[in-house]
Amino acid sequence: MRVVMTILLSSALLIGGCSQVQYGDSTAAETLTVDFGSTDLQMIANQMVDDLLAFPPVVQMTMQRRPVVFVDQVQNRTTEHIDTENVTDSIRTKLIQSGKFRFVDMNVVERVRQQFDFQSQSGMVDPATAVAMGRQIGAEYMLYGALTSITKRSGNTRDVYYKFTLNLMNLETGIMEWASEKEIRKTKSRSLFGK
Amino acid sequence: MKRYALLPLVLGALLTAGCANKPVEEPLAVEDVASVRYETSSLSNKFEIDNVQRALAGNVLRAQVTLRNKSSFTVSYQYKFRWYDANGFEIQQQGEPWRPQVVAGKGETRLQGLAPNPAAARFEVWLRAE
Repeated sequence: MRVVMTILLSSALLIGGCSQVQYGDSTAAETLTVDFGSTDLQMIANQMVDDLLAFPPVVQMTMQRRPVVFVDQVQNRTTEHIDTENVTDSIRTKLIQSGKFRFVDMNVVERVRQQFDFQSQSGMVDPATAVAMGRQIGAEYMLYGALTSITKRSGNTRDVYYKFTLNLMNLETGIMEWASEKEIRKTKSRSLFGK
Repeated sequence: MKRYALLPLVLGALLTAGCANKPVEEPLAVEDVASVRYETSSLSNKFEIDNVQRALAGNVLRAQVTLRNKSSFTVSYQYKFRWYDANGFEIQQQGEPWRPQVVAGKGETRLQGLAPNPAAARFEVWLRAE
């Protein structure tokens, strides 16, 4: 009986010893599967921001002032479930960090309205310190785009092509001031042996 | 017959002239050589720096590094730009991902980057094997 207990205890310890948590490099190229991954997201965001900031008319536009932009949702036209807001969040963060653009966030409008109501109607906030209504700045430009993919399979090989398109439109004139595309191709072959 | 005898002479003269006119390559500046860094040391034997260019897009630093694959084999590698301000502090340390790239044997590749903001004064491009 004691022998059985010892074996059970040892195996429990061994199994417990197998799990290990490690921190990795969040910027490392991830090639686990051909599905849309963190490296694709980071490469798209970087490429888009670099393209936009280096585009000569945009350089001229942002030399003296920081235009106000809002990001519309990027359409996911792929067959995968992809959180496209994640991509636009990265692009927006990088653009803000560049010091060239300012953004308005349409996702928090309702919560901002609640705060306005609290400050003006609850009677708990000193009217002298309450923020004035109707003084928010309207966006001049809109960023919008789409993510598409083409998937092909042949035998053990799977090939995925992603294309991310982003456009900058002048809201007043309706003119598309800038557009850029980033293409990514990933291929995975499954060999008979190994992974 | 005499005309054919002259042909090798003319060709030889042309070839010699062609060699004499080959432009002498200027050595790269110390700053340019220092801007390409290798995380995998074996890559330093595979690549040769052809050219390093810097320009301003408005007031933001842009860089382009032209690398040549010295070997006859395809090289898979990853690269990332790192940007530093005038005091030597790195800007947005986690900012850029490692970008995978492939260059054919004896091929040429151009790595381009744009600084995250106008504070950048200097850059380094880091290479590592896949």
